[in-house]
Amino acid sequence: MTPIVQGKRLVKRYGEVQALQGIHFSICSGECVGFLGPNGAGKTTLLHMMSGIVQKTSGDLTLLGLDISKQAREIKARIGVLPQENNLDPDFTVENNLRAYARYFGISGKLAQSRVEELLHFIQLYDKRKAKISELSGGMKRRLMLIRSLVNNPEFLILDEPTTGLDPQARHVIWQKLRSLKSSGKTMVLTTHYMEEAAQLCDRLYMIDRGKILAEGKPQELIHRYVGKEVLEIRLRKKEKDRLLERLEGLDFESEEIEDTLYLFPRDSEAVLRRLVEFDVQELQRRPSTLEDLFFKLTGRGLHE
Amino acid sequence: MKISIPAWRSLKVLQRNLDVWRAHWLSSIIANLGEPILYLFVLGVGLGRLVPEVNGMSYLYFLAPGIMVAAAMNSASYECTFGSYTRMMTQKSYEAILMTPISVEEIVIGDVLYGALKGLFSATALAALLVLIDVIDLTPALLSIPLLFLTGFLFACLSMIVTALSPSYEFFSYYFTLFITPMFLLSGVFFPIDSLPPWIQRVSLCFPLTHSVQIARSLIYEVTWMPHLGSLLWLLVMTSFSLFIAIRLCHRRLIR
Repeated sequence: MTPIVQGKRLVKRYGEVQALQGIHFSICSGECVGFLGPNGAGKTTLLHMMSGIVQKTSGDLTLLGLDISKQAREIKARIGVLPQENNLDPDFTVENNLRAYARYFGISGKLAQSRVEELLHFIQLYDKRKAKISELSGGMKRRLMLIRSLVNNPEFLILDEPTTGLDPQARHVIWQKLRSLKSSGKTMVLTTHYMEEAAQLCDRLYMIDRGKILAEGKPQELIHRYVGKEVLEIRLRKKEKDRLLERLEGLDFESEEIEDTLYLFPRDSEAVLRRLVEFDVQELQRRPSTLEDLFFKLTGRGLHE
Repeated sequence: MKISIPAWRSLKVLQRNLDVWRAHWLSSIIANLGEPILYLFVLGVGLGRLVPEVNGMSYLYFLAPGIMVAAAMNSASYECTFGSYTRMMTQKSYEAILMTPISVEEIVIGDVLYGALKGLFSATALAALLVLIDVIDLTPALLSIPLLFLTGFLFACLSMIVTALSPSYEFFSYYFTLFITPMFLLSGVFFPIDSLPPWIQRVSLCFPLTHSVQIARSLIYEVTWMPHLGSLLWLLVMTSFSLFIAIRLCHRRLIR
């Protein structure tokens, strides 16, 4: 399949700071692609570049076959953007927010009205259509933001942390709506901190940190490639750690120690567990490895500040 | 940067602002008209008793045209500082609009048009009042509408420059106390500028408001602006220049 969004050698410098250091990526039609990484990794810069409010320092970026630095207006007419921060118009009601936004795209009259009603029904806000923005809960505002990004029936959707700060109910509603958009064939890119969100929605992921892409692939593939199938999480006293590792000598595994916890990423969990039978560990958990393990593995556990 | 002509997309930004204004128009009239009316009557009637005649007319008559253009200046300046800053930085409305086919230049033009219209609205409401109490005639009042709009537009552009540079709301108090207020006092609204020391006269001639006041006074009492063609050209040049700078600065602030 030919990609509908493609970035090549993308660089963004803010003075001395290199926010993006030569990024390559592509998104195919109908795909949902996620960019995962800690704060400051460059995710939002990349999304801002796709939505035309950050200019690239160098490199090429095309959306829908058009060059963002030359045909931004044509591109923006055909994409939808959900920014990280809500920026609804506090002076308008729910439906007038949508109507004003539709007007910016040149959609008005009956077409705008039917589009607005359809979207309000889709996101289950029709009963709130006359409400002021200040009367909406955080989840409702976010849902309204999501359908606002859909008023022009975009071919490509840019979602910057679609559910950050929402309660689990609101988050699940948004996920469900995004899945239904995906199954209707929408192409999307999203950034998130929630590994579950990435696992639920994304066909393919780019792991990104400090302006560089660290890994790319399908979520399960990435996990198996970098972390393995299972993780053993062992809580134990500091001085016993060396004894434990001694006992496991000769087995094929990687380990990582954080504070009071030892993470083992073994090729063969059974073999490791057999050796640990007589060992007095306070707590041992054997679980399938997750995106979170992958995230930590690639970007480290320390705070990026 | 290119401005597509006609910049009809700016009208959608203007429309958005007018939609907001519709909800607050009454409070906005009171806020914008209270001050000029106070100046007119406290000074025009109160001080007017002590001042026999200025340029051959009663003080209230002398004051009226200047207060009208100053009303356009003030409303437009408030709108494109506090109002535009709120839309740009606090509500992030500009950022929302930038995700649509509307560009920075169109947003700026739309916002400046809105400021100009608010200025025009305050000034014409004041003019209507002055016509009603028979200080000015209807015909010159109607003829002054383009000038009031131009004055509003110019100050909307200048204010937009300040907004694009402003780190916070506090910054605007410098603009008003160091620029708008001295201009209001020294541009011939309250007394003819030829009664000022020569060097202040020269400063005063650089103020755009001075030229608006001169044109307004001869429009209203002589029903002609021809003697002030130079002033009109000065206003037009200042307006184009400041619109250009405003767009450039807003672009720099919004597109990183």
